[in-house]
Amino acid sequence: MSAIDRLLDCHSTGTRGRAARKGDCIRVALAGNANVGKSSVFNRLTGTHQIIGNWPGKTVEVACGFAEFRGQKLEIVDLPGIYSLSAFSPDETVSRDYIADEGPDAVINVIDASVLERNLYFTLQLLEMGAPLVVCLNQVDFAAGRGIRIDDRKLEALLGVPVVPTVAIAGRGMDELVERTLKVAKEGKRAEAALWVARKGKRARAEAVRFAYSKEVESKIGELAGLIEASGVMPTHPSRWIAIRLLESDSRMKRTVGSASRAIVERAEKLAEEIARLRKIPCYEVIALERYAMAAGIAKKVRTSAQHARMASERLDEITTHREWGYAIAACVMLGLLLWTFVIGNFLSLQLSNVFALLSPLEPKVAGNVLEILWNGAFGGLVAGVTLVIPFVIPFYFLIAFLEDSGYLTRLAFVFDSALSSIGLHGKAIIPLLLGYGCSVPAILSCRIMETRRERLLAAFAITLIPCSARTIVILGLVAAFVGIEWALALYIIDLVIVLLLGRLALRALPGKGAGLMMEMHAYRMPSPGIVAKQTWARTKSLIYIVFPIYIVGSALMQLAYAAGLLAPVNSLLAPITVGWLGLPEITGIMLVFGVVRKELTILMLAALVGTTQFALVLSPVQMMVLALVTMLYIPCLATISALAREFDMRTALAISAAEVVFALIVGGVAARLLPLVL
Amino acid sequence: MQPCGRLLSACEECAEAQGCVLKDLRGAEGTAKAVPLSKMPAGSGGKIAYVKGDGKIIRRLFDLGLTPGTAVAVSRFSPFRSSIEIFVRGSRLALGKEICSGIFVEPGSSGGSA
Ligand SMILES: Nc1nc2c(ncn2[C@@H]2O[C@H](COP(=O)(O)OP(=O)(O)OP(=O)(O)O)[C@@H](O)[C@H]2O)c(=O)[nH]1
Ligand SMILES: [Mg+2]
Repeated sequence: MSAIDRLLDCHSTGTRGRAARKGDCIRVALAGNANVGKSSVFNRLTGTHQIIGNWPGKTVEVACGFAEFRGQKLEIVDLPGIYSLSAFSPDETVSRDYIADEGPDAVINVIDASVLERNLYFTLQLLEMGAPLVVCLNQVDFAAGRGIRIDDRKLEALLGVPVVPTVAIAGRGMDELVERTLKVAKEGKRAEAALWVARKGKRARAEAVRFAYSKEVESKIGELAGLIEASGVMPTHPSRWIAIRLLESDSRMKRTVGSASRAIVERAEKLAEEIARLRKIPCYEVIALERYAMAAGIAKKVRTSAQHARMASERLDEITTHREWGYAIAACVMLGLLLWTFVIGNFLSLQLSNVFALLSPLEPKVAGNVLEILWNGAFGGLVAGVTLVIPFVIPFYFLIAFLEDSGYLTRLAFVFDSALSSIGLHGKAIIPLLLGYGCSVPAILSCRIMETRRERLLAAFAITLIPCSARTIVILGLVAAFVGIEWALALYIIDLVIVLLLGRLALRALPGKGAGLMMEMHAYRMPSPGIVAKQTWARTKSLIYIVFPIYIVGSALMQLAYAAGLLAPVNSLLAPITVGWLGLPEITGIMLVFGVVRKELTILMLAALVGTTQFALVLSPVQMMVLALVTMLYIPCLATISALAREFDMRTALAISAAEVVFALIVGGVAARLLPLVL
Repeated sequence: MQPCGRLLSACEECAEAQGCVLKDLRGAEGTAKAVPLSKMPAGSGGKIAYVKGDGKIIRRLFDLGLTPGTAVAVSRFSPFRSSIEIFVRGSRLALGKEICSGIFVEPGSSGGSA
């Protein structure tokens, strides 16, 4: 997330304005199927921390970074995974639009050596498009492990563009990749400059066609390309490509060309119909069929695969997707995640508290010198952050990164497909939902892998109800530590029930049918320690940089407000709710207000105010449960509200927030009355 | 003849014409009855005869490589059979049941492995 935040705007030129670009910076886009290793290459080249994991659909936005190679500046652009230029979901649309409209100086097409056919299908589309292409044949190590060997020299000769075998996670082949990419980019620029001088405004005639469709199709392409050439529409792209897209009846291309010349689109429809009549299947099917035949033909020529023994990963596959075991393992993994986080977190938290207790006895200052009060508050915020947040968050992020890189997420999607269909979603939605246990904001962004707005909204709504790591801190730091781990677990289970119930209600409000699950299942992989460590550190670091200042400043200001007697009015204003309805101490009023900024602030501020993380001194077990329950549900934090507003609209964001406040109060009030019976 | 956009009728026709696609692709021999993927037992395989369903989804299936004539194998069903994992063109795909009920396969030798 942080890397995405730091991004500069990549859409600098808007159109294919290569000439307009200033300076000598060469812009290179990374494109290819999902989960082939584009972000791994990106991270290698730019030294940044894009999300990496073993599941399709991690990158959902354009991300830019910079690199330098032998004095040459490069701007590298990481794109979401894409299977075809006929984009299917919003993340694919982002990629398609970038490649088609932004005109990068070179495109590195990252392909997965072990799934050559499908990857080459997209490569062929890029070649048709006339993109200045370099093929990065990635994951050759993994392919070799499965007995697959690719003759990269032969592939290069067949495709007619540079092919560089790489192992992105180990950095193998990166230098050669950049070197050859630069050559392609510079040649492209030179050719274009020459062209510019030679025939202003005229398009470059497509070079000899390397990959031809069947005769009938080629003749139609030829006719259409001639019309396009003559009419001068879209002079920046090869006419042959435009013709093919029209015959595939790509709605976007039809719109673009249609606005300039209706006649061409109508002719294209006629020709497509002729092909369909001839072949008895729709024209776009003919084209897909033939393109896949070309891809398969190339793959066959360059690939040698040996029989390999049944891998351990296949056995793991069997049990994790098993009818009964699948669920049992999923439950164990979730339970394990919580226990691991709690046990390690609690241990670290105690050690750190002891260290800080030696440093300075924490006595909240409520009177005296203003500076002293501020300092005291700031220090309290820091201590609370260090002792309550860091210890829990590091083991949690670590295990999440491990799971993400293993490939387990797609198995969960498969196993939970039917459960999710009860709330109007399909299996793939489990991925954003699980990311929600980490942080709601990237989870909501990742809803872009869902195909329709309706599904995205349903998933995003469910995400706001899922306890993110901030809420986990509250649950573990308060309930697990002082009431009992079984009660913390109960909260997670109650939450799941609530997600299902409210999800069903939301489905009532947004009826309809989704596309259904369509997802590539990549093989299990031993997570690479380097990547897991980097991922954990990147997330922790962004937490420290972005969030710690909030803890410190927030705590200082609150201490000051407290001393100045400003908190009391807020607390007493909220007292009918907090004290009267929820049965909490009055002081929780201000905590819940702070919690809107970030959920863990509720207990951090409490710690800062009462000067201890021994919450049992100020709250009874029932109060802790109620407070944790309300914190878990009452409103998405500010960052989440703004993410909702960005992905959907402000009205939706506010409606969800308001509904959740009401709902949380109802649940909290009921819990406050029922819990004393059992606790 | 209908334009490309209206594929439902096109596919219906294919279904009626009983393997016209197959004849087109592989000559006269392949006219055995095609069954939907969702009805095939786990572990079995065959070749795709034709695909029916919503236009956008059909396109996506083609883009993923599920074109007529392609070998597929059913790897396993998810709990409650809501989705199916298949092996096609060297990789594995999870597909929803409804989508699979529109993919008609001519059962035959398994679609290969790994
Ligand atoms: N063995 C091996 N694994 C790799 C290699 N490159 C990437 N991976 C792994 O492949 C998975 C996907 O890598 P990413 O870089 O996240 O892929 P991506 O193309 O950006 O994926 P999306 O953003 O989801 O489209 C991760 O688990 C990586 O660790 C490689 O060269 N060898
Ligand atoms: Mg990526």
